[in-house]
Amino acid sequence: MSTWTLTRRDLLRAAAVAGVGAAGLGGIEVVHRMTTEPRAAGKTVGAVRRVASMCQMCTTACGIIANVKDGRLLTIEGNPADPNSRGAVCAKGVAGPSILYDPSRLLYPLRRVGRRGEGRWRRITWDEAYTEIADRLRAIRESGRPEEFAFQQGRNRSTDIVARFLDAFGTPSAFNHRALCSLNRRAAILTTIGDSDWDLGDYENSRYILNFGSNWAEAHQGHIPVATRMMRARERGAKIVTFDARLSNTAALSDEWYAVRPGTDGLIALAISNVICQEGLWDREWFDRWTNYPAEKYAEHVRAYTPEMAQAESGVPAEAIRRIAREFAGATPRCTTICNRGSAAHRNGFHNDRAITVLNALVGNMGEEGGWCWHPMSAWDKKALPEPGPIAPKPTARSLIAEAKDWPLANAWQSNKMRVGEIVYLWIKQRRQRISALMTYNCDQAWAWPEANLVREVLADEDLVPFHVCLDVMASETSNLADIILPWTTYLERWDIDSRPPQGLVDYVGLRQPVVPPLGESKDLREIFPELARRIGGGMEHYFPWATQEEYFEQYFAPVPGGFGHMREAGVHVDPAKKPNYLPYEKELTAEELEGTRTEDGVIHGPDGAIGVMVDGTARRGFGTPSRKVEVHSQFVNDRGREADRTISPLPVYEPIPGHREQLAQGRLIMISFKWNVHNAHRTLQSKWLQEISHTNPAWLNPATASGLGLAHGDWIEVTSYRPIDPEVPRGDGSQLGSLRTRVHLTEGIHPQVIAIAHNAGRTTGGPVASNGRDRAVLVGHEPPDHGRVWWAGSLSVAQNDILPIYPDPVSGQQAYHDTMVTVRRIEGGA
Amino acid sequence: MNGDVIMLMSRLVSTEIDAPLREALGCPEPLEDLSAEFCRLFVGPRPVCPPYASVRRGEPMIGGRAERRLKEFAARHGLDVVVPPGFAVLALDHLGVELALLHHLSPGPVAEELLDDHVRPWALGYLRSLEESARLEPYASAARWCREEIT
Amino acid sequence: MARLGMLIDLRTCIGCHACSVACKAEFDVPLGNFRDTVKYVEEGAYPKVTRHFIPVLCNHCEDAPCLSACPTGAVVRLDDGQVTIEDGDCNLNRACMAACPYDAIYVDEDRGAAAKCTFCDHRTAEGRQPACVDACPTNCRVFGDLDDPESEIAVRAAANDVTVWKESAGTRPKVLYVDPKNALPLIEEQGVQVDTTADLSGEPA
Ligand code: SF4
Ligand code: SF4
Ligand code: SF4
Repeated sequence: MSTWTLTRRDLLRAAAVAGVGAAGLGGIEVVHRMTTEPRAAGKTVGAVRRVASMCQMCTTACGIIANVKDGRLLTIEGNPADPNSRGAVCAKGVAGPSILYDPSRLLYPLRRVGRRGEGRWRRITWDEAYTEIADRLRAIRESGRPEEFAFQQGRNRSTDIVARFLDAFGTPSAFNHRALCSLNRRAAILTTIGDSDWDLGDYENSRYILNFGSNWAEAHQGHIPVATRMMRARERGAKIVTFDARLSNTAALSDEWYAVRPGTDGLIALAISNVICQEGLWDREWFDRWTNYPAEKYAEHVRAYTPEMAQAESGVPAEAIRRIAREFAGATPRCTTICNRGSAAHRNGFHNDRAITVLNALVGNMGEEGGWCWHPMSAWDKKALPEPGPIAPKPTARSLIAEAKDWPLANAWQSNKMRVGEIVYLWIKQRRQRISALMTYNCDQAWAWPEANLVREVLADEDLVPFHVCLDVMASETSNLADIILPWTTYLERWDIDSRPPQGLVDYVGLRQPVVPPLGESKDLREIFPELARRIGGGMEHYFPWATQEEYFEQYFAPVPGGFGHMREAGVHVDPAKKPNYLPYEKELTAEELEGTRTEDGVIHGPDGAIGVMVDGTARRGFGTPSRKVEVHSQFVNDRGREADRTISPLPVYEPIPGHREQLAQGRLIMISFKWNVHNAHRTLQSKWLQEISHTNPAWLNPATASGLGLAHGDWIEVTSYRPIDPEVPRGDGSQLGSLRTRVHLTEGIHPQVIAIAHNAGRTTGGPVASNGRDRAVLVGHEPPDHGRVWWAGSLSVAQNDILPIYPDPVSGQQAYHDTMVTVRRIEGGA
Repeated sequence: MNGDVIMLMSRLVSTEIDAPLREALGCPEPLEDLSAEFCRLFVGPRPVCPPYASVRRGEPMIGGRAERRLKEFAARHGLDVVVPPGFAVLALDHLGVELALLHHLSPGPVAEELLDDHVRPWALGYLRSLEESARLEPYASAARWCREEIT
Repeated sequence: MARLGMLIDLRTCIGCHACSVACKAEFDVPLGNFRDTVKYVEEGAYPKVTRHFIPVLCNHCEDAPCLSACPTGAVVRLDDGQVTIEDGDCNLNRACMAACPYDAIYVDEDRGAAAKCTFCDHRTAEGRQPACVDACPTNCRVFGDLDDPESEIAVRAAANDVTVWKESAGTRPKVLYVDPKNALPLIEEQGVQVDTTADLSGEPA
């Protein structure tokens, strides 16, 4: 605090001298203008402009219509033309304006003043920001070690421009969050069917759906498109059975819910498979024709997985498993499975999801209407809509962290960027790869990553991370540890070409466009990267020849009938001639396709690899695997494992989580995390409308467990976590990791050996809304009504990630989110 | 009401103190510290005193009802504002805008209407908060004097 | 003249809160006040337990106690049966709030008047759906004229068993529910507003 105080006389003199007074120089000026603004009767009545775009409050990217009036976004509704969401949006989608006009948004480029992390900032111009960043990056690029520039992304729906910039720069150090998300599921599906790394189902037409721990009613990459189809199926009498350790909203919406012990989903699928085989409920003919493993032998393989064994391990009654097996097989081909992080985010998740996938092959529902389906495109048709050139070549420099060679399946596929996100900061700390500059994009790794405290420690260390630029919409634990903050546009102020794996099984393409101009001085990557490329120079600029973003998208969308103009109108395009991707493998190869091919062991090879398979004397397209069949037996994974000195079973197996049985016997609990429907990542915690609905995260405990521990509802507890007892995992020595303090929420909706904590809470920064008033910096001197309206200030909000161990599945690197062992003890009053 | 005090405050909440103003004020703090204080108070990250009526009144969004009402007022009187580049002003319910309007309209019945219906209901409390929260001059004193002018 | 009502099919409500947020956005409903909320209620004992999602709003009752209670005539019934409050006539005596068995009315301090769901008369006048109905992703909310046998709401009301919330209050609600799991009795004691005191505090005692 300064000792100098301003006197009133100083002030008046200064005002006069500086010309800020009556002359109006350098101040806000008032002008007279005869405007006759019509007075609106209600908010969305009268002349509103309707702008079609795409949501990005979560990664589902539903089509939206923004209602805009006088340059202000009023409300958001669904775009009925979107074939995935079909006009539906969720609460997060509707809450878009509260993010756009969030008072805590980052809106100006900032440079830190003082030490990193001290929390003092000054505004700088974009020109200053560009100059400093370009100078830094140019030096790295010219040093010949471009990999020292690392890019950390969270959700990225602008993959074209990100890849373009990083490739043009020449850095392979593109760190994504895939291992924290979908890696095991992708790896399992890709190794099994080859065509895709994403199963879709055709839920609307299904009669029986087995859900292994997926929470499509609240989260999931297909969230609302899946949930709405499930509800349609339900109206037609479909049955939904959910296995989940916790009564999620999805479990509540199911006809049956089984509380399973975490990490046993694969065993349940294997036991169901066993019953189907033993009772001859299988489609043996299909299995023998379309998989690379004989049905008899698979029956042999699963024989050990009895319903009784599954009951002992998972808690699902053996009788229920038998009945479900019969019902499931009885509904084929109109039956399917759905799974996601519930089954995949485990130490044994790869095998869990393989077992679930193969269960579908057993009943022959693959690719059938109402069955287990997929689509070869995870986005739009990139042949019909190629990225405008010139395209930068892929980097030749190597990044140890991106390659993550310790995990055999992490980057086993050239085009699949399966990074092991959770080890990035551990490896930087261990100095396995030098980082000279880090750019964080739409990510709050300092709060959201496992062992987030380690991430914070690394980001605070100017030796390990000499330069850190953070590009985000709002202040976060991560932006607090940056040197330069760049204010990013929200998804409502920027452009993208986008689409998701199509639930309707027909690919489509969508446009995200600014519904209002960017607020403040915020900018998108699509403006920032070309400018940086020009300033870095050295040939980079060559890859960014477009004068404007519109020009780029005009070119991109030129192949669409009506082009860019049509996309701006409609927001989305579907080719009406395309048919749903049913039974793609049955397709017979034409004489033309067969020209110049050779057949070896039934597999038909063209000049660029296998294109089909002989089935009962007919040349068919088959699956995208090396054998062109469903690879129940995957030699590929077995080989990859051997190369990395790991044993990976070529068949789906159940591998109990190491150490669980022993520790459960000692009374430890398994800690899991979950997401509420109104939240996504750090960015939704900024919305007052969403926080008002969900803002607190006491620990869920079963009353039986609680009474055993002498705990009542609302009691304060200390939860202490342990590292895995697992030699195949970094630091897997079972040692104590950390503790958090929280309070007990009693619910019958949870497995007695489990403690569940919602992860969408526990922010310490980002303003009073996100932090339940804990961000004290913002509260100084504030009185109601301002702060009083945040009525949930002071509600319990605890960060779980600090005590989640970094726990990659040794097969793929997928973070085992739901395998953490903890002890729970009562503490007095939370102090 | 002293117009100079009003306009100085309008400027202080809208943009950083530049070199000439610093000199005129006789302010000993380095420009960088003054800029950091400006950010801490008004633009963030996590601003301590966001200078918007809507935010102060606890609306979920910048702008919103408070801005709509002010727009109606301005339209009714044929008024508009021009915000110089570099000013951190996002909506009409920004204190800097309201004070500029006030200065322009004073003295007179329209200024009184603006004061009663739009400025005083939030700005008095706001300026008190600002005075308490500011760690550097001239923000604290300017807030006090401005409050005295409009009380 | 229509008899406007809403039907909510609890079989397909996914508890997503889109309705509730859409209403907030449409009306700038202040924090802490609600015209439309979604109640979550758990029922049963482990392992046979479920959770119900029950969206609630003003029932635009045929016998509206708020209307009879208001001494200034601020609570009015519109032509199509909607019960609304005229800002200008409200002197904040809160008689309507006390009379409503559903806790559907709140004080909008900013506007200085009691406020509640209007059945979005400003939107329906333009031939649009209420904001909450438009926002519902699963179409479990249906809005329309209960007296028009052709309307979707009338068809669905006729095709299903429908019930109302707190029937014993005798207000003859025009918000109907399809509730085969009999969830409504579980919120007999609750109202539209959110209990803002229910959270566990994060401050150590
Ligand atoms: S599901 Fe995701 S993309 Fe769709 S509306 Fe909700 S938040 Fe937006
Ligand atoms: S009808 Fe309109 S006012 Fe009533 S709850 Fe729905 S959105 Fe809100
Ligand atoms: S929007 Fe529809 S599905 Fe979602 S909570 Fe409301 S009524 Fe239920």
